[in-house]
Amino acid sequence: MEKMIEAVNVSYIYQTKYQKTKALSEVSCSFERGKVYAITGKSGSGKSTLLSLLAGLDVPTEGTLTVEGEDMRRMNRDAYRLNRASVIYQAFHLFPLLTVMENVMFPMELQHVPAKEAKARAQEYLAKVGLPETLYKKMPGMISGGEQQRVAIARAIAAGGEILLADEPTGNLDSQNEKVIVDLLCRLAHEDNYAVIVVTHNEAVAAAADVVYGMTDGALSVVRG
Amino acid sequence: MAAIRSSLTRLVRTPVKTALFFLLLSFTVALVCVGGSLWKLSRDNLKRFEEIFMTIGTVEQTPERMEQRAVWYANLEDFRYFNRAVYGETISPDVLDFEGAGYLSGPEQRAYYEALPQDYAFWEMEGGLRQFMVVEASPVEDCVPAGPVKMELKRVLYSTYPPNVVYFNLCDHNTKDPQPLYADKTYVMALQDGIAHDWEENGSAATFEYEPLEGPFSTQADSEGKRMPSDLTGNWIAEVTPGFYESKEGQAWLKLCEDCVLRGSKHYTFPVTATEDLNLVMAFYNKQAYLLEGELFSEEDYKQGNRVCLVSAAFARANGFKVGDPLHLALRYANYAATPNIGGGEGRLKADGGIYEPFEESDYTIKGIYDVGVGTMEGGWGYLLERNEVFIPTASIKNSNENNIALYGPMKGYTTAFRIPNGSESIDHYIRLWEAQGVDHVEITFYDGGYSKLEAGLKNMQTMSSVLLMTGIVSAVCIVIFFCHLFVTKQRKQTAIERCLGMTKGQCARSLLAGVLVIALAGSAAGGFAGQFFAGHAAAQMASAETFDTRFSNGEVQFNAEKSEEEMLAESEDGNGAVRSAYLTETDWRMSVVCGGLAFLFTVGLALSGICRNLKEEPLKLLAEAE
Repeated sequence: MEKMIEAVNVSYIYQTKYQKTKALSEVSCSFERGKVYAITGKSGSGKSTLLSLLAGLDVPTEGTLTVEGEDMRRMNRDAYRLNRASVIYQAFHLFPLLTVMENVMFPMELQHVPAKEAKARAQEYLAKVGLPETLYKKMPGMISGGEQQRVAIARAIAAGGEILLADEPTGNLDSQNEKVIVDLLCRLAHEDNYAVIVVTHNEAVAAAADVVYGMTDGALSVVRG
Repeated sequence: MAAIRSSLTRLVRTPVKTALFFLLLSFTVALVCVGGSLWKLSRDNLKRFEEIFMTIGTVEQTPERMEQRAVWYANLEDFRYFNRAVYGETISPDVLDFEGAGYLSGPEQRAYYEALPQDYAFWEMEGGLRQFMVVEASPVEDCVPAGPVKMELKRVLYSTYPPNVVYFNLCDHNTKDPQPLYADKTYVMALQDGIAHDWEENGSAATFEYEPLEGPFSTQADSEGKRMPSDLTGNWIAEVTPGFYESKEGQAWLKLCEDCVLRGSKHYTFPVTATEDLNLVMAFYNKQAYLLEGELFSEEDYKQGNRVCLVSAAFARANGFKVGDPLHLALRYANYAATPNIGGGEGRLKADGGIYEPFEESDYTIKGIYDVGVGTMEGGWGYLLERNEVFIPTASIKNSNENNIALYGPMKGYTTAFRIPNGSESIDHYIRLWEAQGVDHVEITFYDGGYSKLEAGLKNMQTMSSVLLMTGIVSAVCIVIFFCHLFVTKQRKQTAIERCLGMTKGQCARSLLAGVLVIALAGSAAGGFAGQFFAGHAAAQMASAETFDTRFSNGEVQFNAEKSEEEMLAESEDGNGAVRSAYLTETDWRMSVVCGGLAFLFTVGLALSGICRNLKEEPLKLLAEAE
């Protein structure tokens, strides 16, 4: 299968006024559509930094990171995040003052999708993540953590991208909701052909992944391929 | 648009926070506007009053003691007693020249000059021209003129009009034991038409008599004001012996007559007052004298000594003068001791017995015609103007008057004045410095037309408005900082989410700024309007609490001591009797615009600064921290 994202000898150095910290060290890896990738490792091992680079929030200090052959340094990374890659978080990070429906519609509004169409598509995505219609007009704070994460996933896929990046997506969920979310992510990869990359400590999540990378002190290795 | 819409949606969904920010911002902006507007208004009012009012000080040398003077009245055969001020050494106005006095004009001890009458017509005194004459006469029989004695007129040396009599009655009215007169002798004497000796008993049927006037004498002073020694005694009578008119005494009598001739048929010279500032003349200061036509002197007239003059309406009417006409002034001598309205006191001859020839003679241009309101002035006759009095700038007299000072005397409130900046602080400062000079027997009285009282009120208002302004500014800054923190800095997480969702930095900035802009604009505008309203209301309250009618100050209403204030107002040109406040009450709407605008810009600036800081944060790291 064609490589969706490819990192070659990627290093990343956090530079402050007083010190330099090498967060990633010559990481090479690739991600394909239709697969779930898990990146595991201890806190501070560089998982989130890698995710940040994959999301186009920054560029590698050294090495190259390409998306479908296009160098991340030369691409419009705002457009990349808007149209191709979405991130979901452990703490869901929904807009607390927008309704469930408005949260999901938000990326589409940024893409200038007409309101009617955006609404219809939002309903479709919310249905896809299994959220009852009665919750559409609720504020995020009024629904459970599992429901919020499903809304976050619906918002992520609403942009119509093909890369789904998840940073500890089940960290705040009970085991029942954890399973629902993991199933949902797997379904998005296997049925809808998303490249799903999950940073996690959770062994169950890692177990559900197609490929597992391990990170230690900024270095990446294949645990299960 | 999506970013802005969601920003506004969020605003609507936090109504308490939004309303609180709006209300507090409006309130503080209103405070700033009220404070600013009132501060500006009080400053403008002070500036306006500064132009309307002026502060002058009049200076008076106080007597060392009072003395009772007995004057014999022949008709009463008794003395009448009068109090007379006895001054010590005349104090020079130079004592007023001390460092830090800060004069705007003066100090000046004004002189008035006797000007030759030329052929001008003058307003004449009621009762017509008095008779003044210098004659040679002999008593019909030996006598003592303690009462009316019959005299035979031998020769008229000078008379304001012909006596047309051979015999006349004479009484040395104010001398208890007058010297005897002998029928075989001829006397030269200065006489004026006097009262009838038996007026009280016989009324209009009383016998008309002449009484003595001073003979030749001199009060000439040198340039330092010291009286010059003179042999002239001032005796009203002298025996005419052969060769008398060749003697020094006889020559003096002839010079006295020469002086009379110079005064012309009406025996009058008109007074010309020289001043550095008309406002130092009390009648002009308190607007009893006011401009009828033309202009007052300009600063340049005073500085350059332009030959321009102001004439009285009475004098102008008598001669048909118009503004711009020339007036020939031949100044003979100066009198520093009195004003023309009191006049006199000076000897007519110089210390050496000569007459005062004009020392300055030139054509002046009439720049303005003034008139004088009816009535007396506080302070007495000295402060009133003479009906034919002419004013000229002091510097227009190019020649020195040092040899033509006919009388010098102590500083009087009506001759000596200065002007200092307005305000109680200025007066207090002056008084402190003056007291430090340690000069005795000089009294200074300040006139400010009520400025100090108005100034105190306005300064209170300015202080209060400053407090309001500062409170408003501090409150506005605190509130804006607090709410920018809530609406911007605390929204770092939202910015991070938006960045992760693919919003550009510009979109994120607009998203945050839109809400703040809306509230800041609404709050600043509402505050500005409210501030303008309340400032106007407060200003109106202030004006209604204290009124001051400028029509008296600017001469629109003619002063008349014999009429009530209402009557004077009713007679004025627009005399509807309504009192107009001198206070400016119109608040400047631009102040509200500026205050509101600054509050808005400050809010936007602070928000932008917060937004920039937000955008510098690395989104994923920030969101990870949030977890």
